[in-house]
Amino acid sequence: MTTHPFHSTGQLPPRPDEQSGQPRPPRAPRKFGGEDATPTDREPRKAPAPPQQQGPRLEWYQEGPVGALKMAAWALVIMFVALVLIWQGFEWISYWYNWLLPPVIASLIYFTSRKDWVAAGARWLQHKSSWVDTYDLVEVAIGANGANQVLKLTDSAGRRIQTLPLRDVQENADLWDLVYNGILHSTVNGKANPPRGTRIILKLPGA
Amino acid sequence: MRDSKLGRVVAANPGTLAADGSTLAKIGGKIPYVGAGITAGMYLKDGTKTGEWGKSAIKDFGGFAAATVTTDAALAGAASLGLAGGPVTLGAVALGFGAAYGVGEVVDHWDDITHGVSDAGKSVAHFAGELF
Repeated sequence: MTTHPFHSTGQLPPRPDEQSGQPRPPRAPRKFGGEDATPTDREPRKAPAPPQQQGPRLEWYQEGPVGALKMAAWALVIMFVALVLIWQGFEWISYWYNWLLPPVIASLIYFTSRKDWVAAGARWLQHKSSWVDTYDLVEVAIGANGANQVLKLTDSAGRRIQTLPLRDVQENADLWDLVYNGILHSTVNGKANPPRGTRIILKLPGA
Repeated sequence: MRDSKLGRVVAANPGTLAADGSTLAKIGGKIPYVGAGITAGMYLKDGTKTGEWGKSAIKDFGGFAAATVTTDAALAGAASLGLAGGPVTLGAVALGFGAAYGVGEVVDHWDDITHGVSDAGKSVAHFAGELF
């Protein structure tokens, strides 16, 4: 995990300009370190509009068709292996209904992956159609939703993001940098009081 | 080794054997779908083999529900302790599998359990009768 400059200097990095996004925040610490950057060769698919009068969308994360197909292919493999293990052999192939399972699960994974959407501007974060002002957060917490650890954020206007997988928001490092700077400001300025566990995971002061 | 794909996978995330950002690691976020598929596969097998579709549904889908609740609780507990990441998720999912297995065992041995409880009840009643 990277060391954030705040921890050595005690100086909060400046807020980026709402329109230009400059200066970009320093690299933020991450638990899930994907290498995905905001694609420049394609537009997002069915993306919700950015929040009005909050500045443009600077970074976004959405699985592309190739990535989603790879995930679906893995799901197919996992399901076929699972069927062999469950039936302790290949008897399952003689029952037609077993053949439906792998493609159904693979399709579910493909379409849900293509629908996932996380975007950030200089001062906002959007998950699906919900968004929060990242510099005006009153709740920052990490909880769970099924098999995902999720980021729960609420801003002072009552806008909420409650089920954003930590993995998804940290997948794109540039996006996470923008979000983390807002979380850091909200915490250091005393607007948000994250629980100790959340402070440890996110490397926030006061852990 | 470290510069090879296998090396990167092992070095980046030894707990999950799936490098951060890899397709396999991303599948981790879709475990509920894969779990539901595996549960459906188990249900179809149990139903086909035993013909007891109702009991199989309780056993397998009940197990899936228990696994989901247990995994959720384990991950929430881990977060409150400041733990997150691939290995933590893997551990929570393993606990979920354990819960699902437990539900399966209870359903499979329900008759023995209720018989045992009934016998224990009779013994207690008999003991109480002797006392008073």
